[in-house]
Amino acid sequence: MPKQPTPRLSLASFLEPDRIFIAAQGASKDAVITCLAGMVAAKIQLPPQTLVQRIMQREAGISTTLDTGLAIPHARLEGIKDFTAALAVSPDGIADPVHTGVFIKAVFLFVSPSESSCFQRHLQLLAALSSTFQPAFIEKISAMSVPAEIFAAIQALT
Amino acid sequence: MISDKAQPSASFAAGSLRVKRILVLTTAMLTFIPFWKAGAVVLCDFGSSAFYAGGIAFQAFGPAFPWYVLAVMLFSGAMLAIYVESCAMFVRGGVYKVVKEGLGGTMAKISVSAIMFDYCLTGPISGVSAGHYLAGLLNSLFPLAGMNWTVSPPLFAVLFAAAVTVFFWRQNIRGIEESSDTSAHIVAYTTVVSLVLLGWSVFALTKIQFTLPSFGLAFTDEALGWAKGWGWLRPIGAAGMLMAFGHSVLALSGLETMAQVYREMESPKMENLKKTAIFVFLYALVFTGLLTLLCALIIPSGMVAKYADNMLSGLAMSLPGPLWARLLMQTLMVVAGVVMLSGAVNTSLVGANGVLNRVAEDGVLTGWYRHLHPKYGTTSRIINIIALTQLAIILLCRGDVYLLGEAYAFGVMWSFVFKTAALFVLRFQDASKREWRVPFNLSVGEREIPAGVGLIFFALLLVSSMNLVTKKVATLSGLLFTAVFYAIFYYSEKRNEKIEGFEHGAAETHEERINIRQALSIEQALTEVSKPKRILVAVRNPENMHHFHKILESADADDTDILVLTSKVAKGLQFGAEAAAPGPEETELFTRVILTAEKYGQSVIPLFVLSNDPFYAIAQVAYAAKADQIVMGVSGAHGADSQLERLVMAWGAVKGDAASEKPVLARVIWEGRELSFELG
Repeated sequence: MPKQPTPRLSLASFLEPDRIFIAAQGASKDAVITCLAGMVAAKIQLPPQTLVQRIMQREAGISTTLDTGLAIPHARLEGIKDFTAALAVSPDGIADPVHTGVFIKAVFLFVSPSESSCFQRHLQLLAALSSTFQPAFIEKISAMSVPAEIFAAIQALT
Repeated sequence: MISDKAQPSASFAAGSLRVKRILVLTTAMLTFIPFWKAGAVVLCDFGSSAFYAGGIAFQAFGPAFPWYVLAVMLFSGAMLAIYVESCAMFVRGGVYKVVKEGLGGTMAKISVSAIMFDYCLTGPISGVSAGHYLAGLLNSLFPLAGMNWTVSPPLFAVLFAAAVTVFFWRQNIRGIEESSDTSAHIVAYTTVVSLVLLGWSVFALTKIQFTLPSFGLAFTDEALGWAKGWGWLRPIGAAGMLMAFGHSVLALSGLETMAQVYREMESPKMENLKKTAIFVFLYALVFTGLLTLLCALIIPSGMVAKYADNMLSGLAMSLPGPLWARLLMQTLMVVAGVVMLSGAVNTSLVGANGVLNRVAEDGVLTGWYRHLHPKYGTTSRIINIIALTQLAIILLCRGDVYLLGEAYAFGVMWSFVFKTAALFVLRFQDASKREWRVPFNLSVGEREIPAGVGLIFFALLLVSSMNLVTKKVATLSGLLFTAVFYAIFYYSEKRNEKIEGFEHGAAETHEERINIRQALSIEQALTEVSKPKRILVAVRNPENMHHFHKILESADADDTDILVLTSKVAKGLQFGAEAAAPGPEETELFTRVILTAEKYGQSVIPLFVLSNDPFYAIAQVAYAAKADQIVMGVSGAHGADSQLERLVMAWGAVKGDAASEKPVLARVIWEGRELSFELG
């Protein structure tokens, strides 16, 4: 029996325009992550520090920075039911602290339920993000100055 | 250069995490052969004794020779069983390894010293015998060509044997190995010629009067050795049979090749080994045993002595039929003999070099012996020593095959004794389940007595002990040679132990000789990938290979390429830049990879990659190879979830939004568990 193709994830469904921001020039990766974690924490009603700690913990393991210019900090959390995300765009690029010479122009932070049944969807989201946020698309959204435009560009992907 | 598809982000090249350099690691042991080719390799050595064993046995104890050669061929079944069990325990289960495990280092060194004596004699006896066959043919052909010439068989045999030895010495120095295909062709040709000879001989039996050879033993004084002066040890009854068997047992030489070739045998390894053993046994029984019997039945009794040094030529020339047809048959048989015996000269050089290399790796020979040829990278000093010894023996024997036969079999028999004793001891030392065991095991309470192995050991000990008494040349020269080699091993080992920092016995972790080829692109590194299915297995830690074992167990070698990849983090390099070659850690890792692949008889394509990010390396190579699966072991530092996440991200970055040609299954496998994800 041929396997049914997995429906493409709508990346916009994890975002809202108010969880998208343009990072200031010279901002560090940690600062951007802290800011994004604050937005997501507000949405899922979790203390921001707790979320920052979990995300940093994960970042300390295997880096989530890709050489396409995307970083995908994330955490799998107990007690939440949905995936929630926030996006930062850095037109000037943020020097990655681990990979010398790699500049991050988009940071897509998300949280997902820790249940093992959600892990496949968690991986699907990572796959969709890494294959969609290719240099050309990142360049395109980093040239935008309004979060709503960026959100629309992401919406237009699906 | 990486293909455009695999490198969509050229603008990020300066800070790329992608592969910087890719090396393809190759070794001679990564292609595996079917059982019949393995059998051909064994037969090129073991079967070659058919050309001289009967003649030597005839000269020692007279007309009963075919019965004893047949008995030896039947006994070879028991020895093949010993080899099958030892190979089931150790993939590289030659005499040295098995005796070392069972009886310790000293006995192992004695065994190797003894078998070196036989290797040094195999070349000369094969070369000289081939020379006799060729001389006999020339002497048959010259009159027909109207030439009143004759060649002196002994002189011609010496010159021919020396020339063949020098030829293969040069080949071995240059590292040119005869392939198993060559052995298969030789055995195929010999089989066809032998079948014609066999058919013609059976036809002849319907036309001529013949009587079965006598069972009576007529030992020469020389063949009785010291027993001649011992009144109580008379060559009659069981003692006589033992003596005659001992003079025929040289036909067993060459079985050690079975252990050497096992590592190259394809999956399912043990099943193929058993098939090889049966194939070799039946072939030798017919080729050596039956043809020797036919020689005794068809060659007129008064002519057997004339053809003692080239008995199968004698058989061809004694068949009924026109002279031209008999000469043609003789020519075909001589060609078979010359190529098979010349092949045995090469096998003796290769085998002796291989055994000494194994011993050298174990710290039993000093670095001087392991010195590599500056141009060809071969262990030229070891090859020189063996070749010079063989040339000296060829000159000293003055073309006398019988003399060589008298000296022969000391090493092979005593190495068999030690090997079988070691296997017997190992049955008690290591009670773990074997894939196959020599049959006839008796249960006594909770214990099991390996009666089959014990009986074989007892038979070998009896024959070898009898040979000590009757084969004076073998005993004296064998003991002297073994003592010299043992002394070399002993003092080399002591000297090595004195060298500060020398890790004795380090070769328990045998280090594979790996050739490195740098590829200009990932695609160029993958030129060997040709099968419809491809699995990329990432390895990092030689102690964490469970996932690799799982793949080797389940992959079908016929339709699946297994790529084994390890990557080393090399920051700041550009693709193609020079960088450090695989270090000791990678060499150890790949040695383990190769040994594991050998164990399962599965070919693998080892790749070593320099990259800023190992997951990118995995994704890039898997993408370029159009892999069906990517398999990783679990990392203690990160955990399976994080590994899979990073691989998924790297895969997406590498692949981009290109359409998927086929699903790729990413798997993290560890003891009893697996985490997987289908990559788009």
